[in-house]
Amino acid sequence: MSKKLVDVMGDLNEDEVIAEVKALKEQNVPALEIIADLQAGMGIVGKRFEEREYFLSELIMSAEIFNEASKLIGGDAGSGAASKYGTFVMGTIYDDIHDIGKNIVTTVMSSNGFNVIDLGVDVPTAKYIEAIKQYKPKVIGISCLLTTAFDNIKECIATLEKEGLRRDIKVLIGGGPVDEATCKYVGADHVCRNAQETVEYSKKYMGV
Amino acid sequence: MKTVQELYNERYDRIKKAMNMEKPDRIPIVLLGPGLIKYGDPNAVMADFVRRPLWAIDTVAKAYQELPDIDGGSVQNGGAFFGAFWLCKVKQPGIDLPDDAIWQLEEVGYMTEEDYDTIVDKGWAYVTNDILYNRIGYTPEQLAPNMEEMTYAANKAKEIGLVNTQGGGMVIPPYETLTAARSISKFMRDLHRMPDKVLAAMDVMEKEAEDSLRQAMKAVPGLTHFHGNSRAGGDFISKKMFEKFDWPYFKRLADIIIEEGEGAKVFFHVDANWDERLTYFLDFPKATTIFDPDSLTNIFKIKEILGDNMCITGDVPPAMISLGTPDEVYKYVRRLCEEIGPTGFIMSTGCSIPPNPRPENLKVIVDATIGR
Ligand code: B12
Repeated sequence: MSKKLVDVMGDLNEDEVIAEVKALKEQNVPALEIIADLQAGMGIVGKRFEEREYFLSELIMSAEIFNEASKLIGGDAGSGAASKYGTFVMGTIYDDIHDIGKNIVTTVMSSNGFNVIDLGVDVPTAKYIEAIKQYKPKVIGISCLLTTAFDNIKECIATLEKEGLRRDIKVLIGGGPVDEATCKYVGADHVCRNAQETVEYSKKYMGV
Repeated sequence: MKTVQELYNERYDRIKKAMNMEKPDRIPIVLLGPGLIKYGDPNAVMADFVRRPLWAIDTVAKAYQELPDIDGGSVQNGGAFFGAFWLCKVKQPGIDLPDDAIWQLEEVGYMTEEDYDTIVDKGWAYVTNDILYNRIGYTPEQLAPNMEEMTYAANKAKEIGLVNTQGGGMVIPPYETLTAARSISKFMRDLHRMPDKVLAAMDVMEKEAEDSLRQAMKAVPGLTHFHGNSRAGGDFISKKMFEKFDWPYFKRLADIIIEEGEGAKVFFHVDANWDERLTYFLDFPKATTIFDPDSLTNIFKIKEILGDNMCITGDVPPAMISLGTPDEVYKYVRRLCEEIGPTGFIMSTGCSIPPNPRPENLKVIVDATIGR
């Protein structure tokens, strides 16, 4: 393990991360080990976020550096070797095309070791069903910034239930106007206020 | 019976007193937002704002007439105008979206990294026009204000004695503009990677914003001028970054409204969570500004920190208006009246009335404020 890589990743020192990854690669350190160091650095980022030393801007930056570094070693952050935890399926519910928040959550989740399936925006229920059958995620996320789309989330979750797909998965929701009352109304399991909370919740639920 | 003019004067005084931190005869009510049209006609849809805008104005006016205790608001809905403001393409109800969906933006981030230098070299107006007309492909006609609609709306508001609290000034700090122009994720990276370039561009943008603000305030004086901020709040960036990239510009623009707005207040429309940024607003002299949160900043904390300094308006949450029971809404509104009012407070919603309100909840907001 390279303590230096872990630390510079945690400090968001982009140049040093890149230099260190290149150096490790030259020393023939296996890709998986380098990824593990980067993820340990992401752990520091998460901790600092919770302590309110880091904010959304640092989360976004951390994911950016992580992605760049994993590209150097031939990895794509969200897939294969990099994803040591389970699969997370996420989209923005139909009739809503907000993608900013969703993209931040998916990026941060994949750089924290989850295998992320991003369904895009304006996602119909059928697409969630298909993805759940195909990828068997333990946690799915539904993003929604509009009160007018609350009923669509409700319909989506009710349909998952009817199809017998709801039992083994946790449904997280999030987005500006979504609150506890919305969560109850649509029948979701939990509201996440931000990307880091999504990471923490999913880790806990997946027993990491 | 009061004449419309008398009614207007009474409403105007009530609002003005609240803004001046004096005690009005009762807490004024200012409500606006796309969902009001549903109170005028339950079968109205969002696409009506696009397809038959004059009918939509009439229908919103009808809602105000059926809720005559509302003192201020707007019979017109901003809609697609925000697209240009936010440097984005807009999807419209009935055209690209279902009939009853709210218009939505595609925040792609048309501005490039190189544009920071271009802003310094050629000015922000140059880059704005390039983005709007060349990269997005708007035509000047599409973005020209619709005078027929504006005149119709102004006359309608006059006819029903509704107070429009907004003057012509409308600014956001360069930080906010850039989160939209670059899109937020790319902009956050720029802040880390090229802070000096960003600051140099911001200096130019702020100067240009000052000029257009001055012109707009002169063209349309009013009780307030709009000054918005959302993505510089406590969930987005650290205090250190806030003090470097947002607050100095935000404050300068606010000072211009205070100094040159001929008595108009600065209407701080502050979206998202600002719980940890409230003390900054103590910098402004008493009763020169108004704090308008969108329900995500704790309004009771705003009262505690800023209550002696400025009028507060808000903040029935959109989710509560759509999903809440009338009883819940009643209780929340009463709590606002008692804890934020009665002085220096205007009853309003968090941001705006959502497109799908429970209509009875709108009546409850009014009734609870009046104490019925
Ligand atoms: C900036 C903004 C705008 C911009 C446009 C931004 C855009 N690209 O669309 C402008 C000023 C143009 C605008 C216009 C309007 N807006 Co607006 N806007 C906002 C604001 C202040 C911030 C949104 C934002 O940028 N968020 C930044 C991203 C990073 O945050 P996020 O998407 O919430 O995602 C984070 C978390 O929520 C979470 N998350 C998100 N999804 C998920 C999903 C899962 C599963 C999990 C676990 C977590 C999670 O993680 C993300 C990262 O931390 C919000 C208020 C708010 N606090 O949300 C209102 C808000 C979304 N807007 C609202 C409204 C009403 C409008 C308008 C209809 C206003 C009007 N009357 O015309 C128009 C509609 C046009 C539109 N939105 O396209 C309402 C929507 C509620 C409603 N009534 O339906 C809000 C909530 C404000 C409010 N309190 O009333 N808006």
